[in-house]
Amino acid sequence: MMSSPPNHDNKTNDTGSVSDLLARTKAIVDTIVDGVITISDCGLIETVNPAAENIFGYRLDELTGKNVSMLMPNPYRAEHDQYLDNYLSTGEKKIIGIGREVTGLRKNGSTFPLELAISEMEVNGQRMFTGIVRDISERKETEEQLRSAIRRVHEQQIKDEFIATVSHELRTPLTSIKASLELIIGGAIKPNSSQGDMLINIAHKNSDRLLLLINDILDISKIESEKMQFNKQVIRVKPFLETAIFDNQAYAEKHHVKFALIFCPDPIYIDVDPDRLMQVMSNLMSNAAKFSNQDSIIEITAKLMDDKIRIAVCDKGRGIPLDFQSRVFEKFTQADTSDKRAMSGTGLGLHISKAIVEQHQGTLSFKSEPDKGSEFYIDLQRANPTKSSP
Amino acid sequence: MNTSVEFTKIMYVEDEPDIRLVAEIALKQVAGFDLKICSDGYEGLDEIGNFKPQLVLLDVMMPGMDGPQLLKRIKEMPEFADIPIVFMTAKAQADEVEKLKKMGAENVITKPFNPMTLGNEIRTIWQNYHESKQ
Repeated sequence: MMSSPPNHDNKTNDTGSVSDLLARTKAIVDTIVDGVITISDCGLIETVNPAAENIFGYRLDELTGKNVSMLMPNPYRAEHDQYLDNYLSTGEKKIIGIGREVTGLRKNGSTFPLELAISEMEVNGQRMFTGIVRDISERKETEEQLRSAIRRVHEQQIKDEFIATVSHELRTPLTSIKASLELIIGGAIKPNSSQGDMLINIAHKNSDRLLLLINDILDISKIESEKMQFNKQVIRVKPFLETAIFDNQAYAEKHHVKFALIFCPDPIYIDVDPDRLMQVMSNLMSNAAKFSNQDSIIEITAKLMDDKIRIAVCDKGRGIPLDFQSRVFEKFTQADTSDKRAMSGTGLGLHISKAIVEQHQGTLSFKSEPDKGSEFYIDLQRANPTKSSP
Repeated sequence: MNTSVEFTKIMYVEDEPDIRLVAEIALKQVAGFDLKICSDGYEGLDEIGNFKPQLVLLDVMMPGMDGPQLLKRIKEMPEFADIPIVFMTAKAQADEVEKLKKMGAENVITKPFNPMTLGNEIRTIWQNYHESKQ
């Protein structure tokens, strides 16, 4: 129960006695839903109303005369006395007169969010503080539920957009395949004619594109569900890059460019899944080939950077438009271009490559200048050779 | 214009080269339309005045000026504000179709389309459009 406030007003009015006034005041304080705690300028609890007892789980006699810091968990508890001393000596207010959210500590040791407003008063020449406390656990829980619902809606929107985009991307090559074959099957075009050959070629080319797209979508699904398997082993960088150039020669021939290993310290080792890293190299090299000028050389280099190695694929092609650079690694993105060379990609390769490199605790970045070219580089941790390292 | 006028001229704007080729065969050779094909929205805007189509067939997602942007520009041209505009899209969700119709599209054909029946489908759309105007 709230202890009676001291009488410091000798006046009474005509309609009520001092004791009546005190009884009314006490009734108000005892019945309000917020906790009311008064403390001395030493931080000792003087009065507590029933709501405060309820909020903290203590009885009045367990609180009066105790330091109010008992109602705060650490580190606030330790800071409280220092804060009070600081206020009394400097007048600097951190909470007084300002409502704020703090954490309270119940008798049973549990903590909870608390809204606290402190005001200062003087009673019979003695400075005191009144704290109004409100348990906001339910409000916080509701806010968290709301935030979580918004997050779920947002995640669902992202999923829906992804499905809509995947559906669009799958239907595009499928439209060419299906329409080409229907024109032949429907008898509009004879199979053994130049138009028939062209349509079969369209169907074939778009089947490859569809397959590429399905593989990329499966890779994204594995990455996002963290189910992509990585069979890491320690490998030597130089032969790996030589193999990358050999394996991707078809891209170079198709686009009339050359891949050249310009520089690579040897022997240097990395601990990677060679198949997955080769997938990244193929993506970077095919992009470079697609967007390079004919007869140009695409430079592959590796250089040491402290305990890391940087593998770079550098072309002198058209570069990436400035307004597109921030979206390069997003899913299903390709710079707006009417160049049909861009059409052969799925818009997923760089997103997958970045994810693969990051799964190796590495980074994939780029520098690009429109009309001058692009350099994509992978930074990976160097590894120590093992007996079985190739 | 009414349904007694012969419907012959279609302008088709599509950025995918392979889809352009199969649609060209479907609309020219199979359905017998006088067809103007454009590879992007800007070309479509340049050509519409010369070709004077009776119906415009538009892809939705195109680099540069996309289908909805081109639709808006065509609707602003007094000469072509009243011709039916039909979208062909691989985004087949009902809400997407509804959105395109609200923009002013007469109808939406989803990809993959059937090249053997595409011409008839478009003729029906054209006929319904003019019947509804009468």
